[in-house]
Order: sequence, then structure tokens, then C-alpha cells
Amino acid sequence: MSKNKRWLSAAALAASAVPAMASVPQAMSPAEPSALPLAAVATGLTAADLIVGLDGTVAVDVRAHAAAVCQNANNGGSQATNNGC
Amino acid sequence: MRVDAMSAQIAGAVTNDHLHLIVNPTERCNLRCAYCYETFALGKMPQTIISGIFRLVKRRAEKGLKTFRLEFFGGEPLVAWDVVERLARGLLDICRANGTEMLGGMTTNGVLLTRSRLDRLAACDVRAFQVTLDGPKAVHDRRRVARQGEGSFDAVWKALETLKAAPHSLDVLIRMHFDPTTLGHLLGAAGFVRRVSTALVKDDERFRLHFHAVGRWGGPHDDETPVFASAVDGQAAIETLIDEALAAGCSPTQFVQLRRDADLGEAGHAICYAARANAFVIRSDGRVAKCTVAFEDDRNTVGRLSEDGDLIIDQPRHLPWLQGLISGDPLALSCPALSYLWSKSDPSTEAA
Repeated sequence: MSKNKRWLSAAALAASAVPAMASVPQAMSPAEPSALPLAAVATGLTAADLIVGLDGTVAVDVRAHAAAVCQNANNGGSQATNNGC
Repeated sequence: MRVDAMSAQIAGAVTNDHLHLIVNPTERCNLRCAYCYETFALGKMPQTIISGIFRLVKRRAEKGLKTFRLEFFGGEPLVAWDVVERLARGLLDICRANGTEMLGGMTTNGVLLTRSRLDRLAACDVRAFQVTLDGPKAVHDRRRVARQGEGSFDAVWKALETLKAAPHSLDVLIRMHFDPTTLGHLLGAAGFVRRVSTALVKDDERFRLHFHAVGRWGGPHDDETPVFASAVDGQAAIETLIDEALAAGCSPTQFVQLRRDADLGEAGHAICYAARANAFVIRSDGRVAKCTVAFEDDRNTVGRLSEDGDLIIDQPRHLPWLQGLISGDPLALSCPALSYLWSKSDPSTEAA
């Protein structure tokens, strides 16, 4: 396997399962949420956070959510400083 | 580091700074590809739904939406060219008036893509195109056929040459299908990968390649569709195909499967649009769906768009699609249809 494909094996199975339009060009990627702390947002999301309003907005306030996750992580002495909190 | 990247990905999938609409201007198609899973039952999008899209995006743009991603799908979107043009122009005007960046794209078979249309699309910031080839003419024309039965290769190749010759800033993804019976046509010094690489992709960063094994995607000819025995076999073939294109002079950055960037999270798993809370498919009759493959599965209908621009979401139907955002499960993020609709525990080539 060539050097350029050093991570292909790890990704290829998942990539094979991604529908056509998931293979979007770079220019089409959503804007990087650079304003967000790079915290483990996922760990705190619940179904209630993901309710969608009539205007298509998602209930979750990701910034507040990320901050809360950071606080929890810091209080817990985890690797918060390494994940952007 | 991967945790950071994944968290950023998930944040991007729930943020209200971004809205992603995949719009079917029609679900009719001018081709009848051998492995297609669509039924072509829905015709052109009516004005009421077009108005609903305008009102929805306007409402969001006026409230500070930063990026709006518009992707035309179908059916074949260019079959309803008037709808495409009206939507692209109108939505770009709305976005520009409100300081929202619009990123436009289209999945098209290419047959109806002319230079004039390309120019008009590029002027509306629709600059990303995904076009599929199934191999050299003899192979492609057996599988991607027009409704009247003739092959589409010549028209598709002409469209790709049109994209190549255009001066616009573009992002062209050539999706190359293959299966165990066609792989041999793609490889070798005289193979199709070398031809495509040399003629279109090499030295032009506007072009990229994506190799995809054909699967049994739910169409009427599934039983006759040759597929790899396992995803691992398909993966091995992809690696060979990439090597072939690299040897022909393509850059590693020109392969979807070699990118490790904003589209990919932990372990290289992408978060599919269907798993995102801020992404929706607007079907031509106004139904709101999540997945562009499972149109015939009722669980894929999660709501409807009203003429007033209200996105009326049935939350209990929507939430199963978003489970990956809560659980972090890679499969639920990369293909929620596999985990939710088809109860697969492992990724396979069955997804389109």
C-alpha cells in the first residue's frame, strides 16, 4: 500500500457505505464551525437538543452546549485542554 | 486530535449557522440505469414548493444564516431546467441580500449539461458537479441507458469536456462505478482510468475522482446486478483503481477516498447529510426526506414543506436519523439508512 493511502483501510469500509451525495467536493463542505470550542459536543446531545423548528433551526445551542461539555470535562479532570476547551 | 475533529464535525451537523437543502426539481429521469433504485413517479416541482423553499431560506438568511448549501438531485435535475434555474437564481439573490454564502452543486448524469447551462449555473454559484461514468463506452452504454434504450456515454463525455473547457472555478467529482465484471476494463495501460485521468483529472485540481462499487440498491434489476462478495473485496479494488490513477499522474488530493479533512471525522467516517440535523431533502412534491437512496421507504419521509416556507417536521420520525449525533456511532453517522432502515451492523457496498 502506498504512503498516500496509509489511512485508507480505516476509512474505506465506511466510505463504501456513504451514499452518493455524501461524497461532496471540498468547496461544498459546510463552513467550519470555527467559533465553536472543539469540545466533545456529541457526548452531551440529547433528543431534545435535536428538535427542529418550523424554520429548520435545531433547538440545541451548540455554543452553550460545547461550553457545558467543556466545564464538565474540566471539572472531571479529563483531557479537556487537549480538545479545545 | 480525532476527538476534536469529530466534535467539530458534529457541531457542524447541528449548528444553525448552516442549512443544507438537497432539492429534487423533478424525480423524472432521462436515463434508466441498470442498477437504479428510483421509481421516477414524481414530476416537476410546482410553484407552491418553489415558493416554500424561497420563503424558508429567506427567513433563515434574514436571521443571520452564514452558509446555505444547495444541491440539486432528482431524478435528473436538468430534466426540469426551468425549476433549477429559477431556484438557483432566486436563492442566490436571497443569500446575497442577507450576507449568506451560498454553495451550490448538482448531481447530474450530464446528458443535458450544455455550455450555456453551465455558464448560467456558475453565474448562480452552482459550481459543484457530480457526474457518473461506468467505464468505457461499451460498458457505460450497457448500464446507463436512455429511456429509449441508447447509451449515454457520448453525451456524458461531452459534458465532462464542457466542464473541462470552461473557465469557471468548479469542483467536478467524477464518480466511477465498477463491479467485478467491469473492473478489468478500468485497469491497465489502455484502461479507462488512465484515459479519464489523462484527459480530465491530471493537473486540474477542479476535478476529482471517486470510485464506487455498484451495489444492489433496491431497483428492479438487483438480482441481475453483479456485486463484490464482500466490502473488503470492493475496498481492495478501490485501492487498485486509485493506484492506477496515481500512476497516471493524478494527485492524492484528487481522491475522495484519500481525503482526511472536513468531510471526514474519526477513523475517516463521514457524517452523511442524512445524519445531520440541519440537512433536508426537499422532494418535488414538498415532502421532506433525509436520505436520497431510500425514497420508497416511508420512514424516510420526516415532514413536509409548506408554501409559506414552514418546515413541518415530524420529530419522532426525524430523530432516528440523528441517533449518530447522540451516540457517536460511526455507522449511524456515516450511513443512518444502513443502521436505521436496513439494520446493518457493518458497512457494506449495498449503500449507493
